[in-house]
Amino acid sequence: MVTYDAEKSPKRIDASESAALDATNFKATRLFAEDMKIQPQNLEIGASSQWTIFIKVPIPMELGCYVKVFYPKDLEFDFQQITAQGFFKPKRSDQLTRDLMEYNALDSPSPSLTFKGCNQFNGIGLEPYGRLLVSYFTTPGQIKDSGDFKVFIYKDEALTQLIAYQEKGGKIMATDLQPGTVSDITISPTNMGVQEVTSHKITFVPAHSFSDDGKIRIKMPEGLLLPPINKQLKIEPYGENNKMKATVGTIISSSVIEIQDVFGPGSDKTMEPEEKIEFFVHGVRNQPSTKDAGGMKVTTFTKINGEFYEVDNGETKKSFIAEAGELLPIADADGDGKPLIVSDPVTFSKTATWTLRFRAAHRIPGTGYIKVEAPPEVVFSPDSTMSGGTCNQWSCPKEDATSTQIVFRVPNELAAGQEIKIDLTGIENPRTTKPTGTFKITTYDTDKTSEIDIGYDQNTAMTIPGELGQFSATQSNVTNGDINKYEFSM
Amino acid sequence: MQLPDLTIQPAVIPAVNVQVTTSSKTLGYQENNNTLIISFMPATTMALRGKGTIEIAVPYWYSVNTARAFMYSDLANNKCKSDCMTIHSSKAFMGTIRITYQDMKSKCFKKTKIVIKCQQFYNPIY
Repeated sequence: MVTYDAEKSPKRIDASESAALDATNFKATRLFAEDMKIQPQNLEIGASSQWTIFIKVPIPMELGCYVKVFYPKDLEFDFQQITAQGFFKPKRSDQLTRDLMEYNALDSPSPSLTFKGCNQFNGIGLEPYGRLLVSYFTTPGQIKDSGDFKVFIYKDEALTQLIAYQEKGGKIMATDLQPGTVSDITISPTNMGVQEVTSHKITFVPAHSFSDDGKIRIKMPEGLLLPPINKQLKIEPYGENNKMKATVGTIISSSVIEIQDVFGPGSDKTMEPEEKIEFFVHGVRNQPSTKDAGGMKVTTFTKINGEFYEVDNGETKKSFIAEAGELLPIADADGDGKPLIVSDPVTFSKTATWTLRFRAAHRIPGTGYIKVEAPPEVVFSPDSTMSGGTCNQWSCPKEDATSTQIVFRVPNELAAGQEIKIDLTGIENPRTTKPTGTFKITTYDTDKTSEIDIGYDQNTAMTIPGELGQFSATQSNVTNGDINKYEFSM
Repeated sequence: MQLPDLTIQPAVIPAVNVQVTTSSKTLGYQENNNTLIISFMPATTMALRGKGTIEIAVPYWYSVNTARAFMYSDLANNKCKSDCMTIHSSKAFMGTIRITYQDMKSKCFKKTKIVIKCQQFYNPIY
C-alpha cells in the first residue's frame, strides 16, 4: 500500500511492507446438491450402465487439487473404466488408470474414490468443473431416491486442507428412474358369462424381484365390477409350486386390488426375477356385455424400512371378451302366461298384436337395446310396428327396423330376472296355420353392439283360417237326376 | 550554483502496522458484499490539506497458465469508504485499487489507525 500527496505530479509519502490476509481459519466453500448432476445412461431400475458425474465449483481452482467422491452404499459399483475431465483430470489423457485414484470400499460414511486432479489447464481457473464417466454403476432396484454422492476437494495430498465440500450431495431422484417391465399379463375368468361373479386367474412376469413383504397392485379391467372400496377378496395362489403366500387382497379404489405380503412375511422362498406369478382373485363380476373388459395394469412394489417402492409395472390394452347369457323362460308358460301370444291368430290378419314374454338373465342398462328377429313367414310393417305396441311406449330406432327385425331402445334399466313383455303391432300374420319358425331375441348394451343375452326361440301357429272375402256357387241344370255343372268362385 | 540531487524515499509502514481482513471468512467467496478491510497506521502523515491518493495492490486470485485474475474486480468502481476521509473515487486496474480522497479528518493525519473498507473483494481460494 502506498500513500500519495495531491500534487500535480503526486509524490509518495508512505509505502507499506507487504501484508498478508490470513486465511488459515477460513471455511471451505460449501457446494450445493444442485451443483452436482448425475446422469446414468440407463435410468431403468437395476440397470448397469455408464454414469456421468458432473460438478461445477463456484470458485476458481488452481493446479494440484485432490478430489474425493463418496458414493452411496446402496448403489452397486463395478468400475472397469473411468475417464475424467476438468478438475478430476490429473494428466493429459482422459483415461484414468488405477494408480491415479484410490478406491476405499470401507471409507466412512460411504465408499469413496479419490483422484489426484487439477493437473490440466483445461477446465480449471475461473469456472472449474469436473466430469467423471464411470463404467459401471447400477441404478437402485426400486423407484427410490438413491443415497448421496458427495464431493470434497482438497489442496493437499493428506486431505487436510479442504477447499470445497458438499454437505448434501447429488443423487438419482426417484422421479428420474424408470420402473422395470411386467410382461405377459393375462386375466381369464373361470366363468366366461357376462355379469357373472366368478374367479379370475391372473398371470404376469415381473422383470425384477421384490421383497417377500412387498406388494402387488392390480388395476383390473375397467369393465369388471369389484366389491366396494376397503372390502377384501380371496386370493388363491395357482399351482403346487407357487411361492405366493398371500390369501387376501384389498380393494383400494373402484378398480384396484392391492395384495400385500405377497411372499410372506416369513416366507422361506425368495422370488426370482422374471418368475411367473399366477393366482386367482375371487369375487369379481364380469363385464356387462360381450365387449372386451378393457386393459389392466400390474405394478409391483418392494418394501424397505416400512415404505413401499415401485419396482416394475406393465399394462395391457385388452383383456378378455365375456360370453353372452341365455334369456330365461317365463315362470308361467301356460294360458295368458305363454311366451308368445297372438291376439288374433287368423291367417293373413294384419290387426293382431303379438306379445313376446321372456325374462332377462342379466341386467339391461337404461338406454340398452332389445332386438327381435322374426321368422320369414312373419312380416313386420316397420312404419306400423314402430307406431304401436311397445314401440309406442319405449322407442324403436327407425334405421334398425326391417320387415324381419325390430330394435327397442330400453328407457330404464331392466333388472336380471325381470319379466319383459313386448307387444308388436303392424304384423302380417302367416298365410297358413303351419307353425312358424322361431323368434330370436337379443339384448344389447348401450352401444347396441355388445350382446348381453340371446335366446327366446319361441314360435306359434295360426289357429283360425282367414275368412274368404267373397264366395258364390252356380249350377247349369236344376232338374233332378240330370248331370249338372257347378261353378264356385271366391 | 547547482543544487544537489536529493532523492527522497517514502517512509516505510512496517507490516505489523497493516492489517488485512475480509468480511466473509469463506475460501473463494466472491459475492458483491464481500468487503476487504485494510487498517494501517501512517508512518509519517497523510497528505497535507487532507487530500491525496492511496493505492492498494492486491495479489492474484488465481493464475493458471495465461488465465489469471486479481482479487479485486476491475469493475468495482467507488466501492470504498472510510470514516477518516471522504473518498470521492475508487477504481481498480490490474490489481491496484486507486483511492482518491479529501477532507481527511484532522485526527486521522497521523498516529491514528486508518480503516478503509472496499466491497467486491474476492477471497483467497487456498
